[in-house]
Amino acid sequence: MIYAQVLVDGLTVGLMFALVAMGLSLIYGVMNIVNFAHGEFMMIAMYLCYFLWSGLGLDPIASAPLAAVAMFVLGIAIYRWIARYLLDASMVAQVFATFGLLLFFQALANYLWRADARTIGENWSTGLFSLGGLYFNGPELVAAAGALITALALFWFLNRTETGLCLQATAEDPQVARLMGINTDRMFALAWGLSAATVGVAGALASTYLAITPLVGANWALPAFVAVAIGGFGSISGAFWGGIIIGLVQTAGGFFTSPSYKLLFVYLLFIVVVLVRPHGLMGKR
Amino acid sequence: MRWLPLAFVAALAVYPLVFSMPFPQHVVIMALLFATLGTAWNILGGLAGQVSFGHAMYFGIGAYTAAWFYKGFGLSALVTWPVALAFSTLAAVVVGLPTFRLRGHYFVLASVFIMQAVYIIVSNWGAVGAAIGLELPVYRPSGALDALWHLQFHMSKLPFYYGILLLFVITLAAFEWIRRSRLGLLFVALREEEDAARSVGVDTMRYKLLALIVSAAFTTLCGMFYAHYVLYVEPISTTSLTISVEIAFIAIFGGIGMLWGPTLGAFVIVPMTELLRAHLSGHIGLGLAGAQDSGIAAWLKYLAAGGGGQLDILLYGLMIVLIARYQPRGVLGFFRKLD
Repeated sequence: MIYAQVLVDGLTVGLMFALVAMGLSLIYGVMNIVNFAHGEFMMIAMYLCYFLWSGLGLDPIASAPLAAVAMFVLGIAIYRWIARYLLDASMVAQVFATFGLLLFFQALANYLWRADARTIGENWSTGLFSLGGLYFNGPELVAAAGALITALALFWFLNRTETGLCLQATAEDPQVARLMGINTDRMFALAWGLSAATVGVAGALASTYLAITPLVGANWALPAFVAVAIGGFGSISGAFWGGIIIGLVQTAGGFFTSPSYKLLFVYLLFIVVVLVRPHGLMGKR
Repeated sequence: MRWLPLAFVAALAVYPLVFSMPFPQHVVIMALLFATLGTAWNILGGLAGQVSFGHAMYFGIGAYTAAWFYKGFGLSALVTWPVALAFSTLAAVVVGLPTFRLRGHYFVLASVFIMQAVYIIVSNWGAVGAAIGLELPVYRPSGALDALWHLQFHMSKLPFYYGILLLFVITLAAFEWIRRSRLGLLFVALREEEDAARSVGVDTMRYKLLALIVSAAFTTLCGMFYAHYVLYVEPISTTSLTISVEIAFIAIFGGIGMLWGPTLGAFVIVPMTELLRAHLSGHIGLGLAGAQDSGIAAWLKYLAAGGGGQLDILLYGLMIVLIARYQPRGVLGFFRKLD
């Protein structure tokens, strides 16, 4: 039974990793840029939900759409001011620009709100219940369900709407997409907006049960890179399944050794995956 | 312009005699330390083109080896440096063999994750003090020779100052010697056209490993210096991703692959962060508990007094973004192009 619990816990956290990883993969697929500041969108969304809760009494789950809109705008702003100038830059410049953003946002949060952890008190998802001998933590279960719904919505958008298909065409080959009359600059901006919005939703969902600190996002985004690599860089569905695998590996690794080592297995998995199967499970080429 | 480097080194040699207070000397010691680290990184990242975010691992190997042997056996880095270099070479081969098969983003990310894995292991490893770290016991030397043997000079920073200046000059000379030698040409070939280099029979793995081993060796020596200088070693300030990024950024800020790039980067960034930190550390949190929740005036006062801290990292992050956005070749790139 304890193994079933590990499986359930792994899937619950895995769905959240899946949502974080999908946004990361979206930007990589469309622009070939590794966005190290991805987790910082999540962190900012968590602070937003915290202040909406402490100031206006808004439930964090209810603020999720607000967080999505706010992060969408921030994502597009980052594209307009910084990321679009990195398209033709060297990989070193790309990596440093997004890493600089990570440091900037983390330090900004520290400067504005200090390093102390904030937690959101009781909200409607609070509660622990058991079903068939398995234990479920309300906030984590709601977060997993919310992550699944958001992931499905993103899949629907990418595969069933014309804009989504244009976005995929841009990811496939920007030059051909441009010849077909697609405004690729707008598609790049949309990719940044969507990526930030989805990870913003993840932040809103996680704010109900995680301690909110300036560093909270990095603990999600770095493992999400591993999920993206497992799925194959640029593959959105691959990133989804990669996220689930990361959740399971992290939970099982922490269970069999010690929780402080749980991320170690995830990081080492990256090295194994890129050496054995560099294009991931569902990557192109 | 040929005399400029000599004049710079001469000015550095005279500096502590003019500025005798500890703080100005400390700032330049830290700038020299990071200039040396950046120059060592530049051998691998600048010449051979392998952008690593994992160099704090070798810094940590040096720092922890020095601390562990001094704490346990009273042996200072003067004796233990060959042991540390053996460790760093071993680590370089173990890390390099798998990761040098990767390119582009994959290599960068692999270096990030190996760095994170090492950080997790070190912060949980009881034998090296886990997250708390190791303290080097303070020793009262009986004379000048005894002080040198223990590398403990409490009354003066000068021995550390000239020690790191020497290591800095040696590392710069090594960089320039490699750059002008046949080896340097091979490294540049790896950076510019790896496939072409391989097609004419260059054993690319061998030369990447060589670049890493040399680069790691100087980084390790810097770590040993740091342990004896600060007398305290813990994971965040020695073997973390933040330190790795700082080392790489200092090289990139000044100009990646250029002899004086890392030095320029270190002498701009280190004094800036040290001064800002020293200036703000006296103000943070002075009677401002909960200030952020009580009105705009109190909030502005709190921010003006340094807020929750890390204003130095905020500026530093902003500089990274702006350099990458406007001048990806680094500040020296304003003056000449990459050769």
